Amino acid sequence: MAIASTVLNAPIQVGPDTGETGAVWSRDALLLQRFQQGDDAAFLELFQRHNPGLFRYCVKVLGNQSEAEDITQDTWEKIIQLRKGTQVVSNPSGLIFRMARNACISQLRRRGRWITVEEFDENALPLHAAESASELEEVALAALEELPFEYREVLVLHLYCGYRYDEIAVMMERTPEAIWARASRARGQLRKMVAAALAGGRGINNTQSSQSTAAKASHVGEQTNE
Amino acid sequence: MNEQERSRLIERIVENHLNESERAELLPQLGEGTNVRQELLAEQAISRAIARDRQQLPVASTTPSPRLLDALSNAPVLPSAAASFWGSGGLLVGFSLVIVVGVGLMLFPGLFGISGDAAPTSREVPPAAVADTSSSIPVVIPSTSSEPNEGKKWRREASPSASATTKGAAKTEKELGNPSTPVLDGKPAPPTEHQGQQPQLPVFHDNSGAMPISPK
Repeated sequence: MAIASTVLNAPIQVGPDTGETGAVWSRDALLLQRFQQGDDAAFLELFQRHNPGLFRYCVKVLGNQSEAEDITQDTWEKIIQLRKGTQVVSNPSGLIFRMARNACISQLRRRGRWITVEEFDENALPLHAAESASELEEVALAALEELPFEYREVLVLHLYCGYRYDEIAVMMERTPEAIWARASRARGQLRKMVAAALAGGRGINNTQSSQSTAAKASHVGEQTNE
Repeated sequence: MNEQERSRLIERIVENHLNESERAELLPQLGEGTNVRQELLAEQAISRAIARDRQQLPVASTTPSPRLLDALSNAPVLPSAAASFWGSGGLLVGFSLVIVVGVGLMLFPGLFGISGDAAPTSREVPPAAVADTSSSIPVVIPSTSSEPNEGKKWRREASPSASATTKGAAKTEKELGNPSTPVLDGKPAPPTEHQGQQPQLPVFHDNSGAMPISPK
């Protein structure tokens, strides 16, 4: 099935973690175009380049490995369907990411777990005081899960999937400055929550506040439905 | 310093593993107080937690699943490939090629293996012929009419079907030269007694010269 191609065998100078963004994405566009023209090897290379990051993103956003596997599988099947048409995709990584992202959002909506930035209550977490370093780390991870979706996904793409902010900007079709600002706000919110747990004051007995946020979390936000 | 710059500064202090002197230079920019210390500790905890969690994440496969490979093998290729070919100018190139070949066929039939001599040798006969009994092949001598188009005029009168082979006739004239100055054995033929008169039907003779052969 794999078809040897001189172009595809050319050394790849850049990847998701290194090199220039433009070269990475133009390589993706070339691979997708070749795949649409019948080159299965191009699809395999595209899969190898993006499937690990895509899977990590889904796992961290959904918090469930089985669901993440299903969504990544469905996403790649949708990519395969592109071969039936003549659609020209200029931003393949963005397309792949948005397909997975929309599927994750749909899954989160079915669960009824959804927080928008406006509804986010930074006092909701932590629910208890952290007494040791490892416990503080657990609080940090829990706080990450409770961040608004827009904040969390930027941190996940950067910290877990290894994408740079400019690459994330291309994928999300935003400016790098906007993504950088969003990431800074997300990190700041996360830090405040963990610092509050460290102080042992604000989030410990704030059960009422956390219950309020949990009620808000069931609301399906409209703002992030991109 | 706004919130974003402050956040970035905290990240730098914690993540970049600065030495003590560098850290001592940056810390005053954050201000003083217990909140600063808590923020730094929180940032350290976040960094460690994410690093640990990243290592514990399940690893994605770098090879597609059998189901995905099956879908890949069943994905049709032709519509997209064909559409891209025709859409990328293949249709224009193909159409242009047909036009070029057609025009070339009309102008230069010899290049395509079609002889322009076939039509005149079968049907057209020059207006005058002189038998050369010394040769085994009958020699055709074209008209010596002073009018340049006399030969054509004669052909139109003598052979109504000649109009269907105009190009063949034109080629024949071209190969033979101007009909008003016919060439015989490499030399211009001398004026004949038929010059200025109505052209006569040619007469062929067989090798023996005994029996004239009518072109009809």
